[in-house]
Amino acid sequence: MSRLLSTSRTGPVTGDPPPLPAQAARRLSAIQYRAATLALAALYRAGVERPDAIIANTALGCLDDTERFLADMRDAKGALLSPLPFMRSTHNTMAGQLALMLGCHGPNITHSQGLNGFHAALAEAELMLHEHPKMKVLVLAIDERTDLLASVAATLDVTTTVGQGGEAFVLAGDTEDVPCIARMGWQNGATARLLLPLAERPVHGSVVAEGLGSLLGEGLRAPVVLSGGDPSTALLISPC
Amino acid sequence: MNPPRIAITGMGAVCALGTGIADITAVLVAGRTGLRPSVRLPYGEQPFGEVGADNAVLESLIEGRFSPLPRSRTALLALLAAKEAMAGTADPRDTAVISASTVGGMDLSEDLFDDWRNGRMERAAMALEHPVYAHTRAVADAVGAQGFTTTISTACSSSANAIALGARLLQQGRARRVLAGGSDALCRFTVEGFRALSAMDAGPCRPFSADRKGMNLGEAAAYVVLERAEDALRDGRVPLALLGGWSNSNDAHHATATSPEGNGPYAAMREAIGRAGLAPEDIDHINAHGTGTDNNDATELRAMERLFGTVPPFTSTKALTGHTLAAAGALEAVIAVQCLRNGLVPMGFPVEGPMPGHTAMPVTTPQRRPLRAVLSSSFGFGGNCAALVLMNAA
Amino acid sequence: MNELRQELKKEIIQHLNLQGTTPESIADDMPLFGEGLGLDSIDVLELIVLLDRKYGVRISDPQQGREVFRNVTTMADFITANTSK
Repeated sequence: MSRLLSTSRTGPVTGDPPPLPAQAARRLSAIQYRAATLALAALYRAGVERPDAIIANTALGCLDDTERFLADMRDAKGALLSPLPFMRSTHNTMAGQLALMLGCHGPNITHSQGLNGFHAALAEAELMLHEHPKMKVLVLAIDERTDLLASVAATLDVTTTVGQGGEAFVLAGDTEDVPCIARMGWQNGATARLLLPLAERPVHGSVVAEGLGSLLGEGLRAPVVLSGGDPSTALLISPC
Repeated sequence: MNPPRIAITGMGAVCALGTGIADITAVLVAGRTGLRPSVRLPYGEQPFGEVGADNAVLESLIEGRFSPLPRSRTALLALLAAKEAMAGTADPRDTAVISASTVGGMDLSEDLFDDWRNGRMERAAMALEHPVYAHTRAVADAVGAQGFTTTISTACSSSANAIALGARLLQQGRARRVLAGGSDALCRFTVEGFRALSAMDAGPCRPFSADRKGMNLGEAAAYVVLERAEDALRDGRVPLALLGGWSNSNDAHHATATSPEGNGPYAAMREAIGRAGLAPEDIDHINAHGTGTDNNDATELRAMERLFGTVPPFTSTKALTGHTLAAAGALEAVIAVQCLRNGLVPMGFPVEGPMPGHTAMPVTTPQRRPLRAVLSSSFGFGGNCAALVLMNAA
Repeated sequence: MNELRQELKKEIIQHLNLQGTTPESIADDMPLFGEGLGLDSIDVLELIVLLDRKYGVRISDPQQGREVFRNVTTMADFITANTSK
């Protein structure tokens, strides 16, 4: 069992989170910048300075930098290639940058699994918190769209909603005497409304995360189930 | 109460040393390298750890009816290795699949990118294989697994983290069995990226050598089947080895360089050994990360010296397989298991002396002796440090 | 020569995305790495690319890069020395 302490918009600490320091921000791409902003806001709202673990989820990763590097490979015609887009194109760039920014030496994982990646990240957080209930775990889900992605998706008539946003959450073990905005645990057969995906339409993990963030922002009134399709790891998120 | 012990009951792998565990082991015992110029990519004499089979051959090796086959080489390698790993599992349905990749279908996308960005969409369907998780669904379907499925992408530590997650799932009773590992195929995107970072040696890599100049890239897929040891024994399945310990920590020093004292590696190795209920002196052999870059080898050896004092015989098998990125953690775990089962400490690059400022040097000829516990390290971009401890099941 | 140095300062700021830094705040002999401007090993690679793309001067070894990029003056000297052939 664990507790959600905050999202980027909801949590015990009110007011505006401090902005990203300029030096830290100079090498961040747009998706990285958004990831950092969401993460710092969630930490601020939870009153947590530094998490003990960071688990990220992204379905398609840093597409802009991926496309940049591919274009450079094609267009540079023998000239040297700038390494920065390549470095920033790896999926774990967000989680890695956050670890650097926050001085977080704990576990650092990135899940990428289309519709189910956010569920997988939360499931891993639940496993970690069962072992170490005193940890504070930052879970972040984020994606970006590019024009190229949009045109490919249109050609293929893809029905999945591809993310262009995200959300961050701070979680702690259920033994912590901290304010909480929701409780989380394995479903174990309990019935509740199924949160996206699968329930209404296929959406990427970061869209599911946004959906959960919205529910928590309004104040969770009834439990919801978040599932990757396998009953043993389905999560029940319920009001405190 | 102690958490349940985790057994490895199946393995599969394909890499530059060969296709399948038996072939790979034979080459390890013989002390031969798999590094050679690439047949598929246009890089002249640059050595790579390339799998010695083109896509058509890989397709023909994948047993069983499975249609349609993916087109991405990452997926084809993964299917081959996953099927080998699951061959001994009678009923595969209650199996979670945790795979890993950094390349995904980039081997296809990099060739089609120019078409796509210019609106030529005849082969847009290939984009469905681009995501790093595309191969994972193919693997789950091919082996008949219906459990929890996810893909981890944390650069060079990816499949070690996949194995660690598998162990956690099992210990907390959230899965009956886990197929864990990863796959990455060679592609130009990766080669050009590491070139731009000045991280590659134009010749064969020389891990832990004073005159090392960088890494060689490789490709591979490797998977292990994990079960609670008590379940395996009840089913009459003899464990190949035990997974005693695992860990993940972050160096948090710089995006592409490890701290001089090797703090992240030190913490990861220490935690994995501790979780296994062992002390550093219980480790008989280390399969090091050892990419051959100036920074990694120095910081990794520093961390090993800090932790062990006298470092046990250590090897970087990346001198034989190349750096296989997301597959490295699982491939090197599989190699570690074969070392335990065969009483083998393999050689990597035959250095002539220790690196300046160090006294320890890696193994330079294959050794045969009984091993009880092997530590396998994988340290990646973004400061991601993972370590696994494999123990003899005997 | 002074023009080249001024141009280099603008290029460095733009290429490395040093938001909030003005060309005036970079002295000709201010160390670019460590204590001065605080650049790192990735920036060396980026500056090597800048020299190649904009000035047609190629540095093959990043170790050499550390010397060339000590400060704006050494950068300008290197470019001048390698383009007047």
